[in-house]
Amino acid sequence: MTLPRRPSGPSRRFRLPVALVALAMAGVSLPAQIPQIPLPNLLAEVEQHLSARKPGDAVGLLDEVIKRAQGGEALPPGINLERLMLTAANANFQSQQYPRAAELGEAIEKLPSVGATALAEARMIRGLSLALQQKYAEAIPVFKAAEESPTFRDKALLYGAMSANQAGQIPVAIETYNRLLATSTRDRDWADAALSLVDLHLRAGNVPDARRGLALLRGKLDLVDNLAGLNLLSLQLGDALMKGGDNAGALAAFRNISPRDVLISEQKARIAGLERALERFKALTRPSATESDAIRRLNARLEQAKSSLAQVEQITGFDATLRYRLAYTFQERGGVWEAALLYEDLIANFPESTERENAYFGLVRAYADAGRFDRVRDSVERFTRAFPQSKFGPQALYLAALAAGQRNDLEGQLTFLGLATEKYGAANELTEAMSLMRANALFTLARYAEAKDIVVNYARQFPQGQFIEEARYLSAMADLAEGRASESEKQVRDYLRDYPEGRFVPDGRYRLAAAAYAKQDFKGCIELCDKWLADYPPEQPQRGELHSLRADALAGLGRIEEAIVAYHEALNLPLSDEQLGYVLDELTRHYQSRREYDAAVAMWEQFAAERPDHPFVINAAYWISRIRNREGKFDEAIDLVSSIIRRYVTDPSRGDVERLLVEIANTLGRPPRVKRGEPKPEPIPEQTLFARVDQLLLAGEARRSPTAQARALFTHAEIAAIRKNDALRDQLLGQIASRFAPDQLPPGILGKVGDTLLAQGQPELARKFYEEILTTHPKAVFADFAYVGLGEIALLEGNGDEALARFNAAIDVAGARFKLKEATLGRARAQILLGRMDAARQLLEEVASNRAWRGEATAEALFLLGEIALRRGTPDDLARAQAHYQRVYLSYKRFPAWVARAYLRSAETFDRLGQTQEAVTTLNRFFTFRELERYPEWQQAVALKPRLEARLPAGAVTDPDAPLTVSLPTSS
Amino acid sequence: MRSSPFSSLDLGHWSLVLSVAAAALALPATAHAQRYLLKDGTVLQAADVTLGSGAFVQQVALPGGGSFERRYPIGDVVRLDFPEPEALEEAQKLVVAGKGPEALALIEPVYRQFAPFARVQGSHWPRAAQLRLEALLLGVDAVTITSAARELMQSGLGPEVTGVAKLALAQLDARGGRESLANIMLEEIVREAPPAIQARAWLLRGDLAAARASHGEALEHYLRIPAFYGTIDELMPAALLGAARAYRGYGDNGRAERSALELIDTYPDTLQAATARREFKL
Repeated sequence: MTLPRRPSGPSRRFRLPVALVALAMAGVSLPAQIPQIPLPNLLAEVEQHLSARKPGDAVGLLDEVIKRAQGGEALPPGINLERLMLTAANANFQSQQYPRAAELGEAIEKLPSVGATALAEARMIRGLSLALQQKYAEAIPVFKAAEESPTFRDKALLYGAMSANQAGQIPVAIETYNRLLATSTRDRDWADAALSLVDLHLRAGNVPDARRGLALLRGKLDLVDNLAGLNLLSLQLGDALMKGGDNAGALAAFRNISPRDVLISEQKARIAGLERALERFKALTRPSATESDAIRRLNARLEQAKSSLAQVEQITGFDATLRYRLAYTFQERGGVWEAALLYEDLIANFPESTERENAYFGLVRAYADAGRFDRVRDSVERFTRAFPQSKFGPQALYLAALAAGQRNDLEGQLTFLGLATEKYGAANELTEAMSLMRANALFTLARYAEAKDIVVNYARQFPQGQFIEEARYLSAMADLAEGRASESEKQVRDYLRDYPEGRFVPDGRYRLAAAAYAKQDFKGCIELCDKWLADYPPEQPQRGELHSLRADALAGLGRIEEAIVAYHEALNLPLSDEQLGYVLDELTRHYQSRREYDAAVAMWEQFAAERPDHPFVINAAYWISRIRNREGKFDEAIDLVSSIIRRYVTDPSRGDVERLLVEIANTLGRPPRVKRGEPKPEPIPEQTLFARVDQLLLAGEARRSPTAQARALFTHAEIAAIRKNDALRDQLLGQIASRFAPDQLPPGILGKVGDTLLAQGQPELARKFYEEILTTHPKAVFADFAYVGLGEIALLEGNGDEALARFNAAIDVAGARFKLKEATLGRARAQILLGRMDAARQLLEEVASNRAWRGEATAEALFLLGEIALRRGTPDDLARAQAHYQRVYLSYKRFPAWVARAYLRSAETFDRLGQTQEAVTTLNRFFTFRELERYPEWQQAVALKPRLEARLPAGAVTDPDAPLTVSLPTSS
Repeated sequence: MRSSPFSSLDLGHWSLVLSVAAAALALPATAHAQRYLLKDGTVLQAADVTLGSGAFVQQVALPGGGSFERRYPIGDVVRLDFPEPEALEEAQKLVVAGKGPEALALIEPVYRQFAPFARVQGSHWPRAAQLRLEALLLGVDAVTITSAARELMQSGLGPEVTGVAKLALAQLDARGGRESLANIMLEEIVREAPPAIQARAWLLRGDLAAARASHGEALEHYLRIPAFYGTIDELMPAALLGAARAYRGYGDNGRAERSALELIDTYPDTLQAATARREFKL
């Protein structure tokens, strides 16, 4: 901007004509009237005042010159009226004569011809003069007009925006700032303007625009001197967003705020920088106009920064407030781990914070929502200690219980409900809701009697309670589950009478029909089902269940064809997976019993076609394969099963594919059928079968998939197992372990590989495979492989507690679909390790008596039962131990490791009973089995024998074939 | 807290206005000189002097021809007025991209140029030395890394620089399987170092816990970055990737995927985002 110059020395423009000076010096008198000072003289004086920085002294003279010029007097050469008026306006402005400055500015604008530069300068002076008289609304259009000047555009926009702000015309101010920021250079002035704009947006409630503005500034932090202001605006923005329910936006705003100490330190550093810059400018003896302006700007910026810093310093609990806001917004958008960290920090480091109680409440919720229930218990304890009367206590525990329930951690849910009662008594605003929640949890855990007690108590305590309807119905269901069918039926009928429009009426009527079925009143059941189906609309969610029940009743009456139709009707309606599986299996069973194999296959094929992504597609393939195999249609079975396998072969999360791989291995690996009259065919070589497997499974893209390759190898291993080639099986499973990372493998293969590695004495490697199952496929049907495997490893490490927990989880969490025997035996071993012999004995007896588990598990169970008895050491127990050992080496010769141990223990037991002769005979019998020589017990027996023989009477003969009997003392 | 931080500041703006009519408005662009400021107020233009043994040497021409040498002890320099070398900015990007040798090639000249003025105000040596250490850490030369870290620790340049050095030593211990030693150092850092260094220490703690498959612990360490150090954007990609992996290890696949997606959406061009896309098939 070129402003009217204040000449610092004699100026050519104002130089007096030489003749006039000479005249004055010669004392020539002027005409008779009052002499007028010539304009050049006046202008010279003006110049002197301006040079002396006394604009106030110049304004009167300038007014006179203008008046005379406007009256027609000629101005000295080089001076025009426009320039003169501009200088006057400027001088008036500098001497704070704003009304006159504005008047002159306006007059310049009205001149018949005025240059663009002078016009722009005049407008700026007028606008500023109006603004400084607080006539902001009048200043706005003046600045708007000044925007036409490219020189003054940015400043006109800035002051226009500021005027609009002061005039309360916020939209105009925002619009003007936006135009300024869109084109101005990104410098510190830009940052100041942007901060002001964000402030305006926030005040105007334009939260999204404020958010964008702050984000922009965050990207240019080096230009922002007022960091404290920026942080305060972020805080305000976060609050505004949080209030509007935009927690993600609020979180983003809060995350940009620095902690108080850091902020103060950074702000002070910037203030020091500003002050240093100011000092440098002030050190200049005669600053230029530009430098003077810079000084004023720096001062203003410094003032802003100091003011914002003071505001930050005045806010008590800045960090605690920030922590709480961060935690809350993290929590509301699912960041419960982060929320817990922040709440913990607030509680630990800000003991005086007013947000502490809320923080505890949030902490309990955060741990509960993250499923970290051990931390929930701990935080509840701390919460109740710190705020024993907090109204949030029961709420926190209720929410924790709710979260546990949502994760199916019903034991956890019960624990939290128990804590709520323990800490806050039975009478609080949530007592009713918690009672029902507890009853529901107990019911789901099949603890029907306890659930019943609670709802009965509830009904007694709150006969008009808000959950009385649920309580009554739950009571009926608990009786039904406990086998008190007639009592349940009565309660259901009472419920239907008292709540004809109740929530559970459709279910109640279904239960009555089911009760009729249970009483084998199939006709009554069908009637009730028909009435139900007539009364409720097609979209009623239980409709499929009713069709299924009706089909069961029809089947009960032997009306199989009608039953099949009814099952199909059920299939066409929404069913839970459990019900769907039941209906499909029932249909398969009926078709098979009627030898309608094609119908069964068609049903499964239709299912697979209609629901290609349903987990039961694998069941479909399984059943089709089995039916076709039974019909001898092996190739058809293999083609169909392999086509379904190929859909999922590359996806390790489809853990049920392994069932089909086993089916393929069974079909391929079985010995070829002998045709009547023909010689027994040679079995197909394994390598040929492996090539067929690869051809079936590794088509196209699958060839490059590690998961698919591992599955092919797994199928090879299964074929080797069917061919009883255990060495090859282990070698193939070992290849899987060495070639593929655990995360590339599906859970079934992970489990098998883990077992192989464990059997080969590589527990640490096995652990990786088991842990992968639990971390990546915790819900897989093969999860029990992991729990049992990790239990075995814990046993190897001597950690009885962990082993027991793992084996329990195999049964309670994973359902022990494949490893119930191993898990039961493992529990027994863990109990022995923990010294709980009675518990171990019960489990071992369970194993030993299970006919389906007959085999090595039985041998081990019997041996361990012997060990328990031996440890007790009474004569009776020794006799019992002996019986167990003898049973092992007599009945389980297929398991030489146990036989060797049993022989040695048997001999030792005889010795402890004082039957040395029998002990030696037992050892001699042991020595007849040369194949047992490789076991360590053999050497121990060799060492024991001479010691025993030394105690025998001379000439005693030990016949290995002599019968062995246990001689018990008479007292026993 | 709800009041506008600017309500009292407008006067400042208007006071600024007073100058407008009297002076030119635009600040001139600051042209960065390259100069040394001595304690007696002397200003030496870098182009006018050469660095000799312990002193700057200036050739002064005599009016009648000939010249003489004027010497200024280096110890008299109290401030450097040099623009930040662009090489450092470039090197920073290379370090973030994991390109250690390329970064070192850019850093070394700057590191050597400013080495005589390591502790002088305005020197770019501290940043160069820290970047150099970070670039070295991308490699495996434990001896050079240790030496660079020790040099920073002995420089007396303040807690941030010392923290960076300690962190490097902790990283070396962690790499060498000496976790307990690393933890002692990390404990010191999270207690004493400035926030930016603390955040990096938590990141390393997360890595150590993750290596032990202590997924819950790893999560608590990684998630400290978004929770407590939200303004330190450059560490967020590593923290989010670590958290995504730890969530998966912990069995929370939903949160694992969400963390990976946040990383990919917010920091799409980072190495960590590419890794997340691959690992989480996103």
